[in-house]
Amino acid sequence: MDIVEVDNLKKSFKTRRGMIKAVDGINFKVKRGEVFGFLGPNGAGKTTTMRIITTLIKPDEGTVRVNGHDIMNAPLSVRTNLAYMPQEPKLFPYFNISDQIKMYLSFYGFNKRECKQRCEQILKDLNLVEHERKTPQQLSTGLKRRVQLARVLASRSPLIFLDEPTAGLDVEARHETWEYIEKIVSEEDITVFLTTHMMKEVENLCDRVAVINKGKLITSGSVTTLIREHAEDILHIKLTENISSTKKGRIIQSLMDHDEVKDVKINLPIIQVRVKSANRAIPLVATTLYKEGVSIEEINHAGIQFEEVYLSLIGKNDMNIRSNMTREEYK
Amino acid sequence: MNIFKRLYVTVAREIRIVTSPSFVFQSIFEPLVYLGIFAPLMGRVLSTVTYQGREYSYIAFLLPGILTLTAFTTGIRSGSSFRIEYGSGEIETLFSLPVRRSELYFSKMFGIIIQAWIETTILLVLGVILAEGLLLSPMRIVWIFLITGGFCIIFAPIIILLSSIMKNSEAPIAIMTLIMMPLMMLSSVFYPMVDEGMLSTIMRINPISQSAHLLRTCLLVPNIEFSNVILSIIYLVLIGTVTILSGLWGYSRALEN
Repeated sequence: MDIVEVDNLKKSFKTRRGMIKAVDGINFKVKRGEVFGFLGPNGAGKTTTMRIITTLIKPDEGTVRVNGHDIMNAPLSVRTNLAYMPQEPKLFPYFNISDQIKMYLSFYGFNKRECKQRCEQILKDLNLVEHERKTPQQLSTGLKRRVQLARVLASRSPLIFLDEPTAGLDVEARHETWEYIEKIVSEEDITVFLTTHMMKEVENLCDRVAVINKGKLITSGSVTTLIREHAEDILHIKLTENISSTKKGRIIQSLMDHDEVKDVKINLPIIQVRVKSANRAIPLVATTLYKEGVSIEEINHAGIQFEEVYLSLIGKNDMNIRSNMTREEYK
Repeated sequence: MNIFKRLYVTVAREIRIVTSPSFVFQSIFEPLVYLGIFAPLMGRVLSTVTYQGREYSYIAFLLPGILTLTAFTTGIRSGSSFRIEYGSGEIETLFSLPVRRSELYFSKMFGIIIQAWIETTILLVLGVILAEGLLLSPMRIVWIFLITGGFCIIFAPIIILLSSIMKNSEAPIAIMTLIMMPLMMLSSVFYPMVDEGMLSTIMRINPISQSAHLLRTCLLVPNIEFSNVILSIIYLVLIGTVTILSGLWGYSRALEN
């Protein structure tokens, strides 16, 4: 069963410049027990969507069901099933960290003893023990974010919403957080819905992703499927000797004549060639370079990263720009 | 969680807030400052005051006014604890928790009442020490607490409402500061009600005057007549109902803007 079902969701905001469509008729589903990445550039509508699903704001149109409960008809039942970590790394100023966590947990029906136990455990798990008596004013942005994360994860709600959970964290804390999220998802029946700008985070954590831009859903699917569907391969060819600029132009033209080749960039002694399929392109590229009288030291095949797929999906892949540049360079 | 458990949790949170050191300090300090400043200052001008045909020392006359004033400022100040939640982003977390917004809102009102009651207790103790002729039977004390508790939550919702509809976080406090001083000075907190003219009308429609009248009746008048207090009670209940419901409306849609 799907834990989140979003159908034709719409939300507009009134601004001085008129109405802005923050979310424009999106549909998607989140499966129980998965880590679902909700991606998009700033202002794409990610946080608005998340705020609607968590019942913080009301949609203009469309339906959203969380664990079978409609957000408009049964908001309390919806909230009983979720925990939400907002984007802003801010905490209520009057309580220390330990009290912040315990108080948060008390809202989920845990008794005093359970709150204390869970609080101690999560502080230990996220390496926050030394900060437990500190107030938010004494914490850095990264630590505040970890406290927010600690509260949410300690609740063990069936559905956890994390709005950019590792933004502002140092590398070590980020990896610890990823490991912890992976651990609770694998050990317990928890679904994580996260937004992030870190594609490494998506590759490490997410089972499936949905990409949104300008309020519209562009695509959704597993990370590997999206890479397979949208990716190309990159060949790094190292030459044994330098070549003249005339020859450079000729090589680019010869390589670009092949349908398999999408883009060529020369930064001697390396030639970077973007191709549709490495297997098919390597013999073609090698033969072409051989015909041009260029001797090759080695050819490496680099797998594409999800970040490049994401950029291509939201229309900001600079591949075309680079391609144009090389053509201009050639002319 | 059932409604009782939810209310218990939300009220416990509010009590934790109003009993945190900074709030307790304000609760103790503010009544002392009001009494410490206004009693000697106004007492030089008015050593005795006639109220409902009887003569009282100025401090006995002033004490109910200071109780009203403290409840009034507590309401406004505590309403700004909502602004802290709003500004700190904590409201997003609160609104995503498995409790109703109305439960959060009324718990907040309860927290404000607790704060007003702490201040009322301090002022009554000081009143017993400093003022002669106060009438403090258990029933009168219950009424005094009901009036100060009720009066403080008339004003807190106004701040909540303004904070939820205004994008500038400083604007609500600026507006309230602007109307606070005229409301205070054009009331019967510091001096008896004027009988004639425009000022008399303004003083009578001022809720601060009505609350001060109720508290003075409780603390000073030996025989309380129902007809003497009922209009003030109805008037304050009506204003309170409007502001509390408006505050609830504003609170519930605080994140919609």
